This record gives sequence, structure tokens and C-alpha cells, in this order.
Amino acid sequence: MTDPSLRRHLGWYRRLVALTPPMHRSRFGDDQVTLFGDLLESGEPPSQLWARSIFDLFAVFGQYKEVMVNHSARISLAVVSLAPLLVAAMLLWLMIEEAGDVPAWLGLIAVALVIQGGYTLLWLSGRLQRWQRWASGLFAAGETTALVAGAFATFGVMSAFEGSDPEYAPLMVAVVVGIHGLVGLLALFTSYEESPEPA
Amino acid sequence: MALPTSHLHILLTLATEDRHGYSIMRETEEITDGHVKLGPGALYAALGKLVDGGLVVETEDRPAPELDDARRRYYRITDAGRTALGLELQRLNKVIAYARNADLGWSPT
Repeated sequence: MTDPSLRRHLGWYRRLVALTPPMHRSRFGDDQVTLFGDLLESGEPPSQLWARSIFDLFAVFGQYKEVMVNHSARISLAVVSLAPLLVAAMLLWLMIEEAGDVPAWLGLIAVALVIQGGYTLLWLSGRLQRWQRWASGLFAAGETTALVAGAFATFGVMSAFEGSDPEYAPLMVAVVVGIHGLVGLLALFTSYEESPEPA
Repeated sequence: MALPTSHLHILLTLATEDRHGYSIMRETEEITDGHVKLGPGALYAALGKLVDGGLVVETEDRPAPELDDARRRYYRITDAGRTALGLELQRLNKVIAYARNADLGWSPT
């Protein structure tokens, strides 16, 4: 390929393919890049080619779901269980350190996270398949809220650090909430099913 | 169970001859008048599933040297793949037959 512009497109596609799951990349990664290059050279406008290629990459990224949900269900369950466990551990630590002085709002957030974590475990386990559409809709809404709230809270707490002592407990809660939302949404959007099959 | 559209088209194109990815993609566009366009990712994800399911195999047989492209891998439909394709075409035939006989208020071509 001699056209530098086409080579640049191919380079970006190669980088994207490098992000696909190893189980797919090792089998078909090179073929996929070769094919993309052939299509570029065939005269198909790069914008059109990207339009049909960027979305079909989800078919490949969907294999992360297989790794997360089907092949390594215990790992994925452990990851999403981290949030409520971390909060529970933090609350326990706060109760021991500052007996009777734990703010009520922190307790409420902890309860919300435990509910969210429990719901995620249920969703991942496939026990909610009977109510697929509703269950996944609720899951998406909850995780999106968690991601947005976690991100805002993280920046909010960090900006409040200026000129005062750092408050690590709220920061930890915010980060945990955000990460939980991110992991949940990744699991949802890399999945073709409304709710995973029972592992 | 119905075959996914991409699987159906891949099996259909391989039913006539062994092909590589680019050829499968182009033939699919040809037989569907451009209505089905497989991207590289979807094509290879589907091929992976078909190979894993035993419906397609990668073949070592290469075309004549002047037609061969060393970068490419060729795929061949298996007997199980032909059976699956036949069942899917039968299923689609039934759907078409039902649509033709049903009172839909318009006539499917």
C-alpha cells in the first residue's frame, strides 16, 4: 500500500484490532487487517469502510463477554463483587476507628452499593433471564447512574482537597461507584444477550 | 434453530467453492445486491464460530499459483455445514411459502 492516507487508516484499524480479545486476535487478527487493507485498496471510500467496520468490531469485542461471563464467570463475579465488599470493609474500618461517628449518608451509599452489587451478581448469574428486557434495562440504568455519579463525585471530592486535608473515604466510595458502573456497562454492551446464560 | 444471517451467507458462498475472507465478503454482497455487507470483524467472528462448530474448516488446498495469494487462508464447508445450510434453506422456503399463501394484503414477489 503506497498511499500514505490509506496506510494511516490501516494503522488505526490495526491498533483497534490489537485491542480485541487474544483468543480472537491470535486466530484472525492478521487476516482481518489484511482484509481491511484489501478493501481500502479496492477503492471503497474509507468513511464507508469505517462505518461498516467500526460497528462489526463489536462482534469481536463480544468475545470479551464470553471470557467474562461464560469462560471465567468466577472472575467476573469476583470483580463486580469488589464494590460492595470494599464498601463494607471501609464501613467496618470507619466504625472501629470512629465509633458512633459514621455519617448517615455514607451508610446510605453503602446500602445502595450493596443492592447494586447484589443485583449485578444476580444479572450475571443469569437468574434474571425470565425478565430479560426489564432486568437488563434496570441494570443499564443503574450502572449508567453509578458511572456518572461516581465520576462526578470523584472530581468533586478531589477538587475539595485543595486547601484542606484529603478525605479518602468519600473518594474511595466515589471511585468504587464509578468503576462498578464502568465494569457493569462493559459487561452489558459486550454481550449480545439481554442477560447472560446461567454460567 | 435459525442460522444467523452472516452464517447463512458464509455457508452459502462456500457451498459453491472454497474461498478466502475477501471472496466470501464480495460474493455475499453480489448475491444480496449489496444489501448484506459483512465487515472484517463480523466476518471473522462468524467464521470462528463456524469453524468451532465444525460447519467450516480451514483448508490447506491452494488455488493455482498464479491465482494464489499467500497472505490468505481458504475455508471449506463441511458435510455438517451443508446439512445446516440445507435445513436453513428449507426453513426459509417454508417461510416464503407461508407468506405467498397468507392473506397479507399485498403480494410478496
